[in-house]
Amino acid sequence: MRRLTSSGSHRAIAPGADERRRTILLWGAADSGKSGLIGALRSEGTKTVGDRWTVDLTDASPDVVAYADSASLALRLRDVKQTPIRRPERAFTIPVRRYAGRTMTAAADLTVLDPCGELAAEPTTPAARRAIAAARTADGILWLLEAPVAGGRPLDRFAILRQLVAILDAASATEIAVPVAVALTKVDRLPSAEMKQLLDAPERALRAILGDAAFGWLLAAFPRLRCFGLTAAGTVRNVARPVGLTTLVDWFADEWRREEEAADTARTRARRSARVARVRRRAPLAATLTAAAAVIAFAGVAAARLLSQRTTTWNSSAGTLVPQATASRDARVDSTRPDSAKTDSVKVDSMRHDSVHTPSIASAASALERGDPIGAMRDLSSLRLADSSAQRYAADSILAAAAVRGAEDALALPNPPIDVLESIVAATTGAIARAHPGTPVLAPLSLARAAACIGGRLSCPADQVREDLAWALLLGTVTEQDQARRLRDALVGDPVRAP
Amino acid sequence: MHNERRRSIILWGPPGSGKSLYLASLVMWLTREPNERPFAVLPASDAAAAWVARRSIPHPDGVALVGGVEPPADSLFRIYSISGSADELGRRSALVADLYPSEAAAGDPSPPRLADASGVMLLLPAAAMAASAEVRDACVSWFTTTLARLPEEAGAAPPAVSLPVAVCLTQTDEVPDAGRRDATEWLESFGAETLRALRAHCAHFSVFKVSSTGRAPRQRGGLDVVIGTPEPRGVLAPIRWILADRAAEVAA
Repeated sequence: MRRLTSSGSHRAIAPGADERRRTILLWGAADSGKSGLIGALRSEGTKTVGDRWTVDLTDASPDVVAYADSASLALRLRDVKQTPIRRPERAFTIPVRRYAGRTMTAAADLTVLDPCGELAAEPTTPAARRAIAAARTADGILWLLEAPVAGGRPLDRFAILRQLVAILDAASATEIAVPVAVALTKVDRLPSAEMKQLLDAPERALRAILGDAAFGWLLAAFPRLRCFGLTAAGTVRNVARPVGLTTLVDWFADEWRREEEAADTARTRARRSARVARVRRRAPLAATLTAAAAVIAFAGVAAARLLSQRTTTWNSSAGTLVPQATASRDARVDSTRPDSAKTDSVKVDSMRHDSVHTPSIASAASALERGDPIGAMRDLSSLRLADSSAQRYAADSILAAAAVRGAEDALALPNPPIDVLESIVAATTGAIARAHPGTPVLAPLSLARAAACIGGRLSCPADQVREDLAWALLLGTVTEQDQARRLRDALVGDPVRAP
Repeated sequence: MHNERRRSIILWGPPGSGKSLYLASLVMWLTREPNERPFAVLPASDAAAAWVARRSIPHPDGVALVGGVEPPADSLFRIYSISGSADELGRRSALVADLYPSEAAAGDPSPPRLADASGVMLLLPAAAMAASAEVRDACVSWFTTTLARLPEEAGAAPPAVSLPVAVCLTQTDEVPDAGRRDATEWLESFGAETLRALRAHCAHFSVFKVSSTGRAPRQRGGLDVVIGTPEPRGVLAPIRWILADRAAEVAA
């Protein structure tokens, strides 16, 4: 948390370690009011009373500070002197903070993607596509549209359509699931009655300006759309008194709070289902042992052979037969040989393959380290380890890391390879079945499986995906929880697959 | 999550049937209809957006229609359902279908997505067919040939096409008494074989009257100009019918 000092600078006092930083992406064409917004946020920083959002320039680069200062000055001198605004050429991110009096009550990051409005003018260039792809990871989008004045330049509907299509295209999505605020800016230039009308009913005003079809585009692309009226300058001369700014940014905070409350509810449900799962797992275990006994009793010669293998143990999860002594002695075996041969021939096999690549936990770790998560998973899948062994725990931990990395790599490709994603689902499913409920390794395993299922649009059971996300949210690190939230948003945002 | 395929609708028509104008009306000129759930249509690519946008240009009297604009390959449009209030997740819209315009002519292979489609819209230019016997014959021939190319359910008794087929009579704004005409009888007036072919092939079909601009364009300085803002009529009815038909099937 940071506090505004009397000199106007900010001093860090106790940043919360687990504070989740949300990002609002600021978007708008040239002259849409981006600089005005930054200037207003800068000007609000000089106040010490009232509810307000301000921009924190403590760690900002000199060009961003110059931008905010010149934008603030231009607002204040708007009717007195033409003040040039020094816009940075590249995108930048600055913290914005909400104060109630002198107390900071909320914080977020504001990313100004296109300070000069060049990308909005030509949104399909490769450079624009790269930059607009940031919309994919933003927690909210603030889209500024200049409110047209009578006799002035009307809003360019086709330009808006192109920008919308470019944003969806760059995000590889059919809609943007995060909250999106469309703000009609510079409303102070409108006649006062019109301005009041717009501030009172901004959605009606925007619909009237754009028409039903174009307003429909915005609603279609941004299902969580909210319209606002905004004047960064305000209506008082020689001073910046923004109208609508606090309400606007507060709305994002409210939406995020609502999301978090929904996540809390999901966590509570997950805890409850975990308790139920613990109880339920005992029943299948007993059932499996009973079934195993039945198989042994009625399966003739094969069953008799199993009974004779005294050193082996039934693995109730995978239904496989694992020699305990062998597993603890050496985990490396030849996966191409029949199971009956594997149990007694570990040393021979390891000697035979020493000159070539021999899968092992170490080789998997090494593959993961050199950036080959799929190779690591392949190595791990060819190992046969007892469920309760330390090696199994180590192997599943590496598998979790490899699966997360593999899913991430695969989904970053333009055409994610389905076979890779399916192998991730298969590998993690086995490991999840082995893991005890509530163990930390469940979080990355569940996260990787959910990512593969959602990102690859695989035919995974909806309940399984929901449960995976719940485990990641419940047990995961802050980063894993963030990823789980994004996946959940992606799932909710996918109308075909939303559970 | 299970195998749910997004609904796709194929938009198909002979050259000059008004496909691009129909798409332009869906994207650019849709207006809210009383007592009907609103829809919005978005092009899926910049090329598709530019294509429909180029179909018309602003004119001092309204909107001038521009012909001869070549469609981009594999253009796709997405149809969203809009609701007045937010649901429990705060959402006010949902993607309901993909719309694929097809330029496949009578002798061409069928559109690639036809087998997986949830419905087909067949456009026939009513005014042009009424005005010219040559156009009428060509369109009727295209129509009957196209119906025969629709995917049939294996082993089903005729009519074996279970796909909902919406026949859209376009350019209806150019016919003075279009409002009073019955759409099915109007189609039959172009040749009894049209309706016979429909009944023989299609288990689910319906005929619609569509006006992409709401009123007939007028000549202004060599341009076809729609006076004022275009107000499409009946353009969403076939889409609503196909979606309702599919929804009813899923519910059943």
